Amino acid sequence: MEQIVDVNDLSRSFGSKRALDGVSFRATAGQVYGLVGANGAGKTTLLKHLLGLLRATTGSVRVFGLDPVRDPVGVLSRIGYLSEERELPEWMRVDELLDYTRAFHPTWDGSYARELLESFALDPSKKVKELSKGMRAQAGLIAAVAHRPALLILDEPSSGLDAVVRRDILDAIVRTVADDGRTVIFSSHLLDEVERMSDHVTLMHHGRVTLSGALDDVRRGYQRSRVRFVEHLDQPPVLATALAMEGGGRTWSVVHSGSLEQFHHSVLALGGEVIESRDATLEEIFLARAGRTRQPAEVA
Amino acid sequence: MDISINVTDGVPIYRQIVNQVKYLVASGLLLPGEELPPIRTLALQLKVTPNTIVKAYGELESSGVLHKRRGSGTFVSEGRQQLALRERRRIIEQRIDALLAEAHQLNFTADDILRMVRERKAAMDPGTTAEPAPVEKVEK
Amino acid sequence: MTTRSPIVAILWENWRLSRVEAAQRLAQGIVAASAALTFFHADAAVAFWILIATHSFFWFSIAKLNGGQFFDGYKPGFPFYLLYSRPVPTVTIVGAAMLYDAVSCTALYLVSSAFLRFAFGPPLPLFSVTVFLVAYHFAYTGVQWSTRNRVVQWIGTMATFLPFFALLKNRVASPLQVEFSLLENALMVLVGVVSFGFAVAGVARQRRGEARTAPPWTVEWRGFSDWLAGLFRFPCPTSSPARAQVWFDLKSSGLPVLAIGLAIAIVPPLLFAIGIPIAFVRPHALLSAMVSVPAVLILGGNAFGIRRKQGRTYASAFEATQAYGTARLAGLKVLVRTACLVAALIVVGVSVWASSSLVSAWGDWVVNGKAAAPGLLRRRRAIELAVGTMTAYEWLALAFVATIVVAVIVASRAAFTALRARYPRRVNIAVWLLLLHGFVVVLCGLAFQRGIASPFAFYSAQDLTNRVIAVVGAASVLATAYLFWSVLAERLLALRQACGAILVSAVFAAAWVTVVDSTGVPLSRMPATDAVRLLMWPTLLPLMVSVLAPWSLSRVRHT
Repeated sequence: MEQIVDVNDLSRSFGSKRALDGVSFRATAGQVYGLVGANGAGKTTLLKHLLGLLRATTGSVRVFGLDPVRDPVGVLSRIGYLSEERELPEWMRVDELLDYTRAFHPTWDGSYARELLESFALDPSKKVKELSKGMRAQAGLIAAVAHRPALLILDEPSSGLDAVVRRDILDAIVRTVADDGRTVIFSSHLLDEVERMSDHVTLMHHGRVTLSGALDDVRRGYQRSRVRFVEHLDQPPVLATALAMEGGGRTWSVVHSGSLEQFHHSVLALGGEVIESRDATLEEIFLARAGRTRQPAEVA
Repeated sequence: MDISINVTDGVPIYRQIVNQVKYLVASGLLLPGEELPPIRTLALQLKVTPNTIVKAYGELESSGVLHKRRGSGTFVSEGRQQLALRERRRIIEQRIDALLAEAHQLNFTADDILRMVRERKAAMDPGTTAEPAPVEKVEK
Repeated sequence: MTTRSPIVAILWENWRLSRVEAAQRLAQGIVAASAALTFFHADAAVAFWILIATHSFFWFSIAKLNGGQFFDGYKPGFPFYLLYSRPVPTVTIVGAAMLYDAVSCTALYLVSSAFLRFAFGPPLPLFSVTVFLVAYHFAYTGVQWSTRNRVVQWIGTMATFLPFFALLKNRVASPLQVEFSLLENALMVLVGVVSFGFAVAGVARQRRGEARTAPPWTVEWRGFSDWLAGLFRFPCPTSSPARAQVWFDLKSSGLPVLAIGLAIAIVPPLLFAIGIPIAFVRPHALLSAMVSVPAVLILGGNAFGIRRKQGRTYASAFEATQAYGTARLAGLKVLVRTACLVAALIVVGVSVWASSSLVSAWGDWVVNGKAAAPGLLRRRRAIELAVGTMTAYEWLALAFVATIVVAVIVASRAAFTALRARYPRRVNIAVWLLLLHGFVVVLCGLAFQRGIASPFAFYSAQDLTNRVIAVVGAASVLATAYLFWSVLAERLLALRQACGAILVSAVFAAAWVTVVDSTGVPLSRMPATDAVRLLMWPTLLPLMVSVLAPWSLSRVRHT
């Protein structure tokens, strides 16, 4: 499998703030990579390094085996990018935008661009400043995917968009990967989206990669169990390998990782039993690792 | 193909697809020899990454439910009645497990459940004169 | 923070936003006026006008809150729109802000003129101008803040500027003295109060949301306004990235410059023509002719399109992520802007020349007791003569030199903007050091003049400046060498492109020598050091700028 992206021990600070801390990230061809993290976790910073918008001060960044800072043309000509702020020149018309982008990419597929324009119902003669936020995202998406890039980078593609445009973006991701095994890297807050669309998920927190791996592997490492105790408990019980707890009184919902045996033992030791157990969803893992526990709910 | 997936379940998506396809085959909604939608189409329909569909189809293929004809697509395997039986059993067993867990929560024993099953079955069959046995909810 | 009165809070906010600019203005005014008085032996009136010019503008750092850019005088409207949702009456908000603006600027003027008066002696007017300044500021900010309409802003600014300054000009007497009669003072106070009323009404309207607004979240500087970019419509070429990029730069920066240049070129002929019947307009016509060429040159800034948003400056990510080399991008942007700028300069030049021929139609025009028109016509004929005697080769050299000079200006301004965006602190330090140096030189000159000779006799201001220039020259040579090495090491410029830059600089030096020769300067007979100094800068500058521009763009593009 071709190594599309190779980030090694990348660190980056802005003034006193450490945006990335020893981040390593690898992407192989034909897969979808989801980047998840709280605001300020470093997702956008990492993606900007891939595009060469930020220079790697420590560590190395290689995309298609090239350094995006030293060889911007070689790297960017094979990348499609949709940024979070959708920075398009306000004075440009949609058709001018597509023509301009087309000039830089010899692999531009005009019929695909036209097909997308029609399906999005975008008026090509409209200026960018007259477009709504969703339409801007659509225009930017066409410009990013119409040249069939080997790597599609989407930074918070669904932020602030309605369901229709979100669906268009998800479709584009699917199509990119399904056709000729190209690669997609996207960062998102919407965990259910990441769960559906990613083959690999990378969880970032305060500039560090806290979890990375195939989605199913990651999820298998975490379980969510419902536990019932004999006695009513005012405080969340202390259980081995538990990360987060929800609930109150006698019944609690626990997200735990690691050894199931240990967990069952500690539950039994406190006089409870495990009612049911399943793999945790990405959202549950994310919240559990963010370290928040819910206060015990009012007992009915 | 009538498949829906649910992200909040906790069940991996490819597994949901596998289960649902097996269910459709077992219940006869997918006939032997019928073609399944191509990976790309199903991925677009379900809004999941194509690699998940690839994984699901791969597992279904290795367990014999589907087979790929080179160049033409993916089809339901012929003559898999035996497998259907095994699958059918497995599906029902899953439901039974869930029912038992729920019953346990609500403080019913396995005997109570058996009794109630018979009652409900009798109520569903028209024209029988089976007497509903009095069920006392025994609070333990 | 303890709660305090909203007026104090608003005043504090104003202070916080404008204090750096206040320091800059204070320094600028004093240094410029001092330099004028000491070096150029100007009379006190010049210093007075310098100070007035420095301190009549509203605070740019506050106007920036509303967005817009410096050329356009920033977007009209009340900058503190974030206060609308606070439980403070509009009168208080507007009053506090306007008062701060008027009082702070007037105070700065008073401090500067008092200092100069003390240091240099000339009788700069102090309190007699106070009412004028306060009233003018009220009127100016009143116009700016009461409306969100660009047209009203421009017309209103003109309508306040012209009468006020015409009045001031009339009241400046020859040994410097400014006296306003009681009636005039009362009138100015009235104008100030009326402007305040207008401002309050206008801001109240904006607060209620009835003003036709641009959404305030677009607090960013987008370069030239979009309608300028939309003036010329021609399709984007898709055959090659270079052509597409040229199209982009033409539409976003080159053609707007040309359009503005054309607009500027219309003014002198118009004014000169109006001056035929109306004598009052004639000095303004001359002023417009003199000012139009520098005005066009101002448009040559920020060729790289650096944006400012919420205080941060950055290169547009849209352009930075296009698959195009940085050096090529820098080169294209500079070239396109230079070409359009040169075209605009030619148009303006031709227009000024043509309109100056109308002077003969002005007939008997008496200025300060002498007939002015013959003098102007004589000067025009002299220029005609000088230009006519140039050979074709000298013409070519002059055209080449002029074009390269414009290109160097454009490239250096673009590089400076890029560097300031990327390294704001270092650039600010450098600029302040330069200002400080200027101030020190002025002080030395002052001391020398006043006869505090002994400790300073060794370093006359002239000597000091010469030494500094030599140091700067050596530093520039070293910097150019470093930049060349850095740019080649990073593969930013190919060796072939670097050689091209050196070639162009060499040709430029040759052309420069030709031009200097044709003006009659005896190069061959000059002492070596003077000749070197005459030749070094023209060779060094294009070379330095040709590597600095891609280097700075690379630093901004890859932060």
